[in-house]
Amino acid sequence: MESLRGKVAIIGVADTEVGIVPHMSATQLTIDAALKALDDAGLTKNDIDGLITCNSFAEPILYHAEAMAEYLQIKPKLCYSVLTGGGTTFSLVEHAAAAIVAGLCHTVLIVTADSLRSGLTKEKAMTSQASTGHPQFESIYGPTVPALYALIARAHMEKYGTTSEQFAKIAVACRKHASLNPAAQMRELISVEDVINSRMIADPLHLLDCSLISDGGAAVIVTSAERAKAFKQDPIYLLGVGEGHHHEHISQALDFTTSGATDSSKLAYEMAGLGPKDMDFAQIYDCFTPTVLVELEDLGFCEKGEGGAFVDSGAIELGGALPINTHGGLLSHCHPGHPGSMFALTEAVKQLRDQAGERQVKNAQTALVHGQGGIMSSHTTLIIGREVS
Amino acid sequence: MMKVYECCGIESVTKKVYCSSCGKEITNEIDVPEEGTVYSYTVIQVPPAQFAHLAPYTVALIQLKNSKAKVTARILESVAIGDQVKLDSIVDGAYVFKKVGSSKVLHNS
Ligand SMILES: [Zn+2]
Repeated sequence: MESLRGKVAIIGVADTEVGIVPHMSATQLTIDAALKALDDAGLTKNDIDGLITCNSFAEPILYHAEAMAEYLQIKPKLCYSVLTGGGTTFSLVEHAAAAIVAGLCHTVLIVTADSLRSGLTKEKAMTSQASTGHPQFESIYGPTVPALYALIARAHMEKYGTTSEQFAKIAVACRKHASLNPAAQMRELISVEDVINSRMIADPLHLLDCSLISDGGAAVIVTSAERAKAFKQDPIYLLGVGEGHHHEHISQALDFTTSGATDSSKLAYEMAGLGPKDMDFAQIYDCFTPTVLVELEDLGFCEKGEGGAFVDSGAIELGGALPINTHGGLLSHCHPGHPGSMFALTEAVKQLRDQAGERQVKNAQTALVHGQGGIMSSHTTLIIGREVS
Repeated sequence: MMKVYECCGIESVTKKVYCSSCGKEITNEIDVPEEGTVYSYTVIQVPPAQFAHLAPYTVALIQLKNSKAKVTARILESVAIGDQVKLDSIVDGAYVFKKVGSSKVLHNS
């Protein structure tokens, strides 16, 4: 396969209003994100010849991408929807890059949005998420999504001595970063004690170990590296990408404490010719705090089993060796479901453009962005940067 | 006894038609004791509506004795990883296990 390294760049990014947005439907959020990203790039809709979306829970549409193209009145040469849970957003970026390099199209709009908070009842949001459970060996036991992640957390605690306090520190760091982000849904600072004392949802996960339920959408525009220099913003190049898919149902997983992030990151590092130490910051999928801890290990930022100590070192906070989730993440910025991790990418691009305001990582050149979906099921790692060295 | 389906050394409580290794139809059904050890567990405090009457309840993954397969179960008592458990009943298709031995005692003896 021809390497995608340095062949494409992100030239436009945008987020909608996020959090509780009852005045906008999922479709409206999708179109709003798309139009704002076009504006950010300085493009018109007719410059787009590829459209990739992901379907909405609140407002499911059978031919989602077609419907969005129709709404925008564009006639793309490439048009489809993908669904691999929270890993969806970044696999879309990989597929867009591959399509551009293969010459199928030159400029792809990737847009994802949903209104999980306002478009669904709380119960319906819960059941739609829990429908990922295995019908015979998970669902009839009444596991919630937090409960399935709690199994992973408990196994990690047992095997490596990881503590609830260490999980809590991840939530505290994300909230600290969100407090510096005017767009974030939850901005009030929290302490480790606040997390530990918050309501137990599924032991050992407390309420504040769990991500938010939100409305919101985000879009990115990807084009070839040759075209990328002609637009309004500094292009942010795709340096490496990889996917890893190990299972769908966690009860079928062979290993509870190591995930497909090992495969996806290996591919991404190899393509980029870079390693974990080269990353100035990372955006790591944080549906629950233990997800982050396992991923920090699997992405190579520390040894397996050392995630707790890595968090204790303070590395993950702004000013630390590897600030993570600088926008606040799914834990504190927003989490509208499948689109959730797209905000991690739009944030990473803003950081690399030096447009992140109070939460700017100084002299940020290169970043790793990781998304995962299902119950540690699908993984995509992106490495992006200002320069193709 | 519980059924475990085996082919090419892969064992699972899920009955699939085709083996993921050789592609042939899985024909080997093994009977294993209805007991094992707690591989991981969680105590669900905030349940979906249809399970509200049970809350709080423990859902665990059980490593079955004499098998590589794991099975999901509800457990009646509070447990720790490594505890020995045994099938107690099957309620609405769901396995309910009970604790029969502690991991702590096992390690000390
Ligand atoms: Zn076989």
